[in-house]
Amino acid sequence: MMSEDLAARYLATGTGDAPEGKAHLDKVRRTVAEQTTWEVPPQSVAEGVLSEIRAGTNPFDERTRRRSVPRLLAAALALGTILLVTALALGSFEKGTRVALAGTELQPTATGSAWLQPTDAGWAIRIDLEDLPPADAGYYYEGWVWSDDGEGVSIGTFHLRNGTEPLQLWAGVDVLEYPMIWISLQAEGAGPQVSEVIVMQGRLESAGESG
Amino acid sequence: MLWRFRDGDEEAVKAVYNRFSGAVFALSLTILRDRGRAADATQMTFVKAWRSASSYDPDREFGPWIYSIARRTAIDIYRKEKRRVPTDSVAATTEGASMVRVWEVFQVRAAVDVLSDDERQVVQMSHFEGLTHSEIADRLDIPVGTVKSRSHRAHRHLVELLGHLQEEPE
Repeated sequence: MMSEDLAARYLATGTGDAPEGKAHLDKVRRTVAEQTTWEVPPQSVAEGVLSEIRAGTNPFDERTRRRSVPRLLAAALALGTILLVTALALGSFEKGTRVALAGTELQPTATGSAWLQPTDAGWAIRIDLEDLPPADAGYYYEGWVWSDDGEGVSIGTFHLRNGTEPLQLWAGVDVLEYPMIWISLQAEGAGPQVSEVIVMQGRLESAGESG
Repeated sequence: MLWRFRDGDEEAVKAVYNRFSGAVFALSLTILRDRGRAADATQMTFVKAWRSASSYDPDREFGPWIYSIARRTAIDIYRKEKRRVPTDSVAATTEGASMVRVWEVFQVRAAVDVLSDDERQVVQMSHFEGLTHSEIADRLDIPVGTVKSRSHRAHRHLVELLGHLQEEPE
């Protein structure tokens, strides 16, 4: 019997003579018996990777920033808005447009920024937050863009229970027409409409700064 | 393949993800001990790998390269959370995962994912579920002899892939 066959037998059963390397075969045996070894990442991870790569979403990444210039020009032409053209002319989209977020009276110490970046897939909205506490069990936060006509569109949900890493949210509508950004606290099972509990807010045209 | 991956070619991204996502997730889970955080770390690892693909040396193996990115990413998440929530149970339980152990988990999972579906199934049922060959045969409704030959082929394959667990890369 070849040494590989002996090793395979030992690896399979933990018995018999392993010609060499018995110790590392024992490590392999221990590892294949553990649940962690067999865990499968959620499907949402693959979708998230593809989504981020499709969009080239990191506004701070040098490569993305360089690539984003023609996209921004195209977006500006397509949108035909004075605001966007003006911002581009001023170079304000070099890192995306920043909107300052402030806590409402419900979370007065909370602060943050939203970085808006047009992509082929929609508007990538990166949100950095400080001092917004994690949502309690049974609740979650929801980001919104809101028009002056009183129409809101959700841009994603989060809970912050595991930290406040920058959030990546998305708007499938033109944020220039939905210039207000809200963060609401929502109760699970309460339906898709925005709650009355708005904890942070900001506005694109009044608070827009460039990075 | 790596050039196509770097350029965001969707098929190349899927191929790299399918080959290494299990190993990256297992590594992340070993360090972070939480599926949600491990999922975040896995996603961040592949996006970081894509962003830094231009710095990848094609003369080096891809596995150790993405392992290094994954390990750094998971440790960064762990350290940030430890700073934020020092009494969190995660912080208390993650200390035990030695880097040698993390590397073993990564290598073993990466090797298991190279096996055919049939081979992987027998290895999983045998080692993780603790089933005998007869029980596996009953479960899969195939002859015991088929289970035995499949098991030997699978373990022989693993020996070839893991016969010498490599040293952890720097």
